[in-house]
Amino acid sequence: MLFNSLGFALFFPVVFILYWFVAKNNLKAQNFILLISSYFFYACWDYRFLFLLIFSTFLDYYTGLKIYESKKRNTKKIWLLISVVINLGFLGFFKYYNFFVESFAEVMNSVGFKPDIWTLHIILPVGISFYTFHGMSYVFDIYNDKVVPRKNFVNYSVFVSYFPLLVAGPIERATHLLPQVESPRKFDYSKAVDGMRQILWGLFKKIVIADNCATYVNMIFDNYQDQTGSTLVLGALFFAFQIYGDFSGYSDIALGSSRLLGIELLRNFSYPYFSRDIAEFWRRWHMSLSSWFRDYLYIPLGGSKGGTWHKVRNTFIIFLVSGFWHGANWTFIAWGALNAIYFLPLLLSNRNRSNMDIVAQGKIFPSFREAIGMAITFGLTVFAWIFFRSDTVADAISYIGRIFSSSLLSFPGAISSDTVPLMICLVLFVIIEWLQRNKKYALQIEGIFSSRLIRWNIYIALAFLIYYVGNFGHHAFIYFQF
Amino acid sequence: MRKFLREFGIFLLIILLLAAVINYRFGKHYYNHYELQYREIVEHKKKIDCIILGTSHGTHGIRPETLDSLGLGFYNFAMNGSSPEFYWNWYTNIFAPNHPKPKYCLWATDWFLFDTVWLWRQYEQDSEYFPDSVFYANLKSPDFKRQSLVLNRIPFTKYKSYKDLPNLFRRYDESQFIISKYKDGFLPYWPQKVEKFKDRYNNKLKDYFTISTRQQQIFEKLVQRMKDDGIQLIFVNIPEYGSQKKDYEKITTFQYLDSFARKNNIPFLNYNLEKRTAISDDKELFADWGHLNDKGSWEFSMILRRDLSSIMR
Repeated sequence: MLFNSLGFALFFPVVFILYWFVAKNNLKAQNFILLISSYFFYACWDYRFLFLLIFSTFLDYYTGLKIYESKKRNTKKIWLLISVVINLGFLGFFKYYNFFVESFAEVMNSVGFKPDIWTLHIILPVGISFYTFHGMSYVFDIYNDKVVPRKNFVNYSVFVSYFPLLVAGPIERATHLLPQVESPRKFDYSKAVDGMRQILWGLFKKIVIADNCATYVNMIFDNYQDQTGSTLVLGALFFAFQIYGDFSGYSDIALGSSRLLGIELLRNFSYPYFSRDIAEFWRRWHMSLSSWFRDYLYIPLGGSKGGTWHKVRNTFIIFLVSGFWHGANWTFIAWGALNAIYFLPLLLSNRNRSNMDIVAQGKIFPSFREAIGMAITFGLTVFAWIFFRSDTVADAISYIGRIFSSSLLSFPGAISSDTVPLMICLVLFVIIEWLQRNKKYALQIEGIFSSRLIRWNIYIALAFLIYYVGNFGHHAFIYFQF
Repeated sequence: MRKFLREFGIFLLIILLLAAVINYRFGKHYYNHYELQYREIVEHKKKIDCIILGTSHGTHGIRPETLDSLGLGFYNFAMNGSSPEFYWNWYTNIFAPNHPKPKYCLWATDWFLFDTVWLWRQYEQDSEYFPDSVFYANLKSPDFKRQSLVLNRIPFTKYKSYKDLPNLFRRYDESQFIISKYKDGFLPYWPQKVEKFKDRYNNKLKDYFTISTRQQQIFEKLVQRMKDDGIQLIFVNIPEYGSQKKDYEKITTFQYLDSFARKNNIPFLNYNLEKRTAISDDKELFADWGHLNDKGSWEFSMILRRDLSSIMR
């Protein structure tokens, strides 16, 4: 069930009615409805993997209790290890088994051995990377005495399986979500309106920006050998907007839906393409994953403390793991490595935290220095996206090689009169996002237009823009595959 | 909560109201002679002895009114972009269940008859024009995409491209067809619109077409079905402008049609080959290289009437 599907448009109002009108102020009933609807939502993808989700939930629930009950540090460690090994074992099997087997065979081939490899037709359970990380963060937090384990299995299950974030995040923390699940929730008019607005903006990002870009991106990347250099540049640019529109659009719909149910989720994006350096980009892109890796991997490894070698090692580890988390392909690892290379000079020169504020705050235009910083960061990001989008590293290198040809200065072949509406929407999108960069999302306009008439006209215009310019080809969200 | 639901309800109502206005405007904007063609199938306003099938070349090229003087009732069901697959669905799901069997079927078989790019028309796309009984019967059929049938039925959902939006504020563009002369499925092509096209008489397109074996198989299946229903088929190829006889001789579709017609004892009147007339060399009779204009359709229908008189005895 995609967020941009008729199925979800029917499912969500039913949940909303049951949640607020049938369960009313009964917290237990509300959580029960959330759990059942989350399992139904998940079963719509593939009911067989529902059991895996329930098992994973139970595993972390049980090991969490055991860690807390254990008096000795070593016993705690053993339970933590059991949880981590089983969680990563499932993730490794479903997501990485074939990759490791094939990579091993390739290495063997290169030294003259020809092993019989045994790959499996494994279907990747949707959202496995997300709910595994939810559960692991809970266990880690108990181990680090940040969270007390919950005895109420329903409440804990809602934390892991809550449908707005189940298949593509944001990756929540027990410290943030569990207290909300356990507290009585009251309907808040202004929050609900805000949620609706964020859903509308998310739909615009997904259906108009991402899915229209996807048409060109697929055409260009799938036939990159036949494209001019300028078309390939355009393809990479379109992909940058596609992935941003797709993933941040998904996050907006998730956050908006959740807000309608009275639960606030972690923010996942904060205008990443207006970053002045790569460090800032990573504080603004997929924030819930970045902070997860920071808290549970980077800091335990020593973070940026210690000598240069430690800093380099830890940076590479976190970026490579982050790349690998996205999928079992060398392209993601190359993408992670490239970002590590971008990031290291900033870290080593202690400039990785120099852009903590909002760019050009209080001004309409950025300074020349800020504009250059944003342009360079955006260019580097787009360059790295080529690896992320390509099928193989060799394809990515060949793609980049073809950009730098005499045809780089020619008019891009993909542009025609059909591209004009998308181009106009992209320009509008960038302008709106820029003007609203101090807001949680770009359609937060209630403080700008006090007149309800104006606001409603904007919403209606946006709804019709989505309808007429949107691509309703039912493109799944990119991050569902991760 | 009440305030939220009330406002959300009003918002939805405004959206629905606007959608209804757009729906009304689009429904009015497009002059659809297709609807009249479909309606005739269920209303039986005319006694039809011969149905005319084909593409736009047929719609704008054959006048039933002229042929009626043969003493038989003709009706033009040719529709632009319609392939054998389209007609298979049309015949088996709409025509055969709703209309008495005619004696004859005159099929305007073009050289692009089996090209799925040239012949783009999908059956479900026409649901907007289906009579209600046909639409609901088709909805129950497992052969068709239900969603597609529904979405194409409603002008608001059918014309959902931004390119359709300017039509909301325009009057119907009558420069393409002479609506006042619509009769029995025939609609004369008005050259005002096509006059803008510089190369409209350049007949080079037939060098680029493909033959889909699937369409060929469906064509053969439909011919057989009609024969089984006691319908006598006649193939006709409508004159085109700008090419010589020798250009048509190498067209493989014609070679296939020729042999298929001979094998099945079907008359094949090819007005670009053996039955070529002076019409093919007279630019004044064409709106473009492939479509006869008002005058051209009249002249051609007179010739066709003469040739059919010896077949339809």
